[in-house]
Amino acid sequence: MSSSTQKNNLFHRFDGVLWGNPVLALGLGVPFAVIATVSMRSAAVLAAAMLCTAVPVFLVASLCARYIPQWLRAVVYSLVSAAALIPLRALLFSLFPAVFDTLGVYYALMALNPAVMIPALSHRVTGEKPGFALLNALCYSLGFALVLFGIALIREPVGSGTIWGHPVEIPFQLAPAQYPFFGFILLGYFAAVYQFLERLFVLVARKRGRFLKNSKKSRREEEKIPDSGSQKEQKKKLTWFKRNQEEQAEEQTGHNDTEGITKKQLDK
Amino acid sequence: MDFFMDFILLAMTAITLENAIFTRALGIGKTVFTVHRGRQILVYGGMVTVITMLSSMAGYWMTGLMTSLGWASSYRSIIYLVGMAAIYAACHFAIGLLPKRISSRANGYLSLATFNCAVLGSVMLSAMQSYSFAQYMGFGFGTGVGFTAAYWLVVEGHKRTELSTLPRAFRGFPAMVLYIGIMSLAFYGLSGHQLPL
Repeated sequence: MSSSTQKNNLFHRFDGVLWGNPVLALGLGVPFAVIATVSMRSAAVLAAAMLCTAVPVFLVASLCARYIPQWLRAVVYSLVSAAALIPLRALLFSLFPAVFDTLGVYYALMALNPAVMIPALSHRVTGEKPGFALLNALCYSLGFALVLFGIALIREPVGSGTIWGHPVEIPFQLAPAQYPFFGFILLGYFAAVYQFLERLFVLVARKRGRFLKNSKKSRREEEKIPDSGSQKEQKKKLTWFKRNQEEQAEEQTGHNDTEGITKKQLDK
Repeated sequence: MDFFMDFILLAMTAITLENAIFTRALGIGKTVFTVHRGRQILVYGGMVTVITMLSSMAGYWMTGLMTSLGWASSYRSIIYLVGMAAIYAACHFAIGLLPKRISSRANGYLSLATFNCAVLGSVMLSAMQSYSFAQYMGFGFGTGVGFTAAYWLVVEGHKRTELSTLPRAFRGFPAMVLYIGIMSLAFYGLSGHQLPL
């Protein structure tokens, strides 16, 4: 949300949940979506970690980025992110102790989650008001969690026959669903479905004329502001207009006599 | 001789069986669409390899220090990040001494190459497995080289999939991820077992 027109658009205010999803649209956080979604509990732990890292990092980026040299920002954001994970680990370990064995190093790697680092380093968050930065963090976290839960909801019952650790009856089971390649293939199909739905939405919205309502192009079409063009094009238009006027005058009077026509009439 | 053998063994393991991209999905994303030319990949991969090796050296020393001080393993990531930040700052200043046309390009890749899941992942995996110094260095070197080779394969595969007639919904990111999944399946056939996370 970089332009003021997009901020006023309610749809773009929640950028990151579905539209502009960090995993499916921006391609960020692939390791976590592929490796660590073998169970719903792992997905829940990573979603909580995403929220707890995105909020402080985005707030620091919005408030302090102008005081930090550009080359040092990645260092600061990664350290803030890693510091935020330490108390969360203590809390989550009391709730899901076995999950940390499943996650391995991937919980600690959330400190360098591209879904947090790249938006924080880009114009999306830097210089934004803290309120919008917080909203961005919540939206990105929700979008990230939706994808992780979606993949885990398929992998856990198919791979281990459980949902949230509770056994369920599944007509078939595939032990290789726990391996990385299954996660990649599942993520690929999720991304394809997302792209299909995104394109469908854009086509429907364009037909209704509601897409990019506040964009410059649609405002120009509404107000019928003529395209000004470059100075050369303006001169060409003026020359053509004058020539057209002279031809019309010649047709009317029967001879080429433009002296009688005033400048105002020519300008009209 | 033992140092050399440990180094080579862990390097080959990290390149093939425990490849950063195909086995652990580390360091991959839409950067494939930005760093996609041969020279760019070599520079980026070379920087990842150098940073990973330097981080592994620092990581070995920091792991020993934390073990001797009795610090909990939950503080490891932030301690390793402090070490990586120091390496990043040193590299940034070293690159600044180079001619401007080289330093401006190299600095663009430096933050991507340093704050990369593959680098931190390599250090943390080595710490988890309690490797010796030679094994740390070998695993770090192998992670960097394996990452570069896998990245090149992904970029080349992505270029070829873009030239083929794919359904619109699968063009771009979905095709790239599916391609990585199929390559990962091939690597699973090589290793055939669940790797330690």
